[in-house]
Amino acid sequence: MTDAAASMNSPHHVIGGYYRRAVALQSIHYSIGEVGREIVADLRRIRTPRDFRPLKIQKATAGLLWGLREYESEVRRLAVDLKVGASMIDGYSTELLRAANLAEQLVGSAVTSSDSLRALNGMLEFVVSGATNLDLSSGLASVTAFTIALSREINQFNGQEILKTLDTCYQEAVRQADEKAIDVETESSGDSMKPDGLAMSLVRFMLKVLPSVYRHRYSEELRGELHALATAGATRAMQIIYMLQQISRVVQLRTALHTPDRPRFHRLRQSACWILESTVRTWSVTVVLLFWGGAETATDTGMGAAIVFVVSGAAAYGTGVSYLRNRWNVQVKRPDREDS
Amino acid sequence: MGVPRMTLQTQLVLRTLLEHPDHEMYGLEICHAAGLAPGTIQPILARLEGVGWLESRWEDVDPHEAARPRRRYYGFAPSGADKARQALEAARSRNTSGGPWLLRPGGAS
Repeated sequence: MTDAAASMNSPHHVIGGYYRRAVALQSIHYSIGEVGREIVADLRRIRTPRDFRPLKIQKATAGLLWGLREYESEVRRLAVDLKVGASMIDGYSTELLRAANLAEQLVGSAVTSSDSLRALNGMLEFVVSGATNLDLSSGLASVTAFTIALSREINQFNGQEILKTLDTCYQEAVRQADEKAIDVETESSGDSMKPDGLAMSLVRFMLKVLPSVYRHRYSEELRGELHALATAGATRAMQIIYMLQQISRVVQLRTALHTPDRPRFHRLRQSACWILESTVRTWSVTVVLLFWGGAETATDTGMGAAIVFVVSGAAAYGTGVSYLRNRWNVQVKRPDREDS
Repeated sequence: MGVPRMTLQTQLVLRTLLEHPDHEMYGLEICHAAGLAPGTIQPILARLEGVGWLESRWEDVDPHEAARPRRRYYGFAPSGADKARQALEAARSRNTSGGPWLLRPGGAS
């Protein structure tokens, strides 16, 4: 697939096209509304038979009819294209189908309005031909009432809503354009080495846990690695295991992205460092525990065993304290700084 | 930025990258070279990149032409390799001074 063809298939491009067409439709819609309002204004200005100029009104309604036909065919085409687009771009199918349904409703409204306009033209011809014999004022009253009803019908066209729906869709497409373009490309390439669908779903699941600013990056990175695995001949199970391993570490990844230089058990280590900074804090509780354990041992076993317990316990504890102070670079604070 | 946690896995990743400091590698490649499980690599790379030791960039290919997503390549930042060597040396000396009963990183020289 060439670059041009690929970019034509990107959701950004496709939905952007729909959006621009909906904007064009909206301008046609406004023009139709304007012509309708002019006709109603002309009819309302008629006070005497001399003011009645049926040719002018007929000309205006003919223009309106032409505009409506154009509008109708354009909305019809957009409705079909939106359905095709919805089947092509899974991610936006709900929104696009909603827009397509709205467009179909617009087709219905446009057809009704066209029929009404044709009826209005017929009425005008009837009024003009029978003006000499019929009561002109009652004929005009019916034409005016009919035109006002038609104007209301035209104004009920819900072009704004379809535009709003497409706009939401368009903004979302712009945000995720690159990511979705890759999906469309991967799906349309027909590559037999493409990653497994379940593994791809696991990628999407994993991304939900990550901070939003990093989602796009890890989406592409993980898809890239899954693709590399698939190309290397990894089975479906291997790809899924790979993603499960990624998911098992997603909380760590999230923490690493937020605070890269923070230790794993930060709070616990902070508390331990606070204790290690002071000799009093380090030894006070332990000395009490050692003497209590020594006393218990002396009672149960004898003085010799108690001395061995206290000395070996203190030595082991002291070694552990020295190791942790060294490992965590803990400086013992004055006034209880150790000479050793 | 501070110093990242020098776990055994972090040390393995740094040693792998230090074998060819000018060479960039993508996540899966580092995993295989370091002999680590795939899931462990991303948090480590994110941490090393977060503290400024590593830099990453997208592969210079068009995903449409290549018919696959781009890879993310990781390499040392300008002073990253020196900092990594120092941190590995500090970790090694710490483990050595910690006593013979402490585990040492695999393949530590």
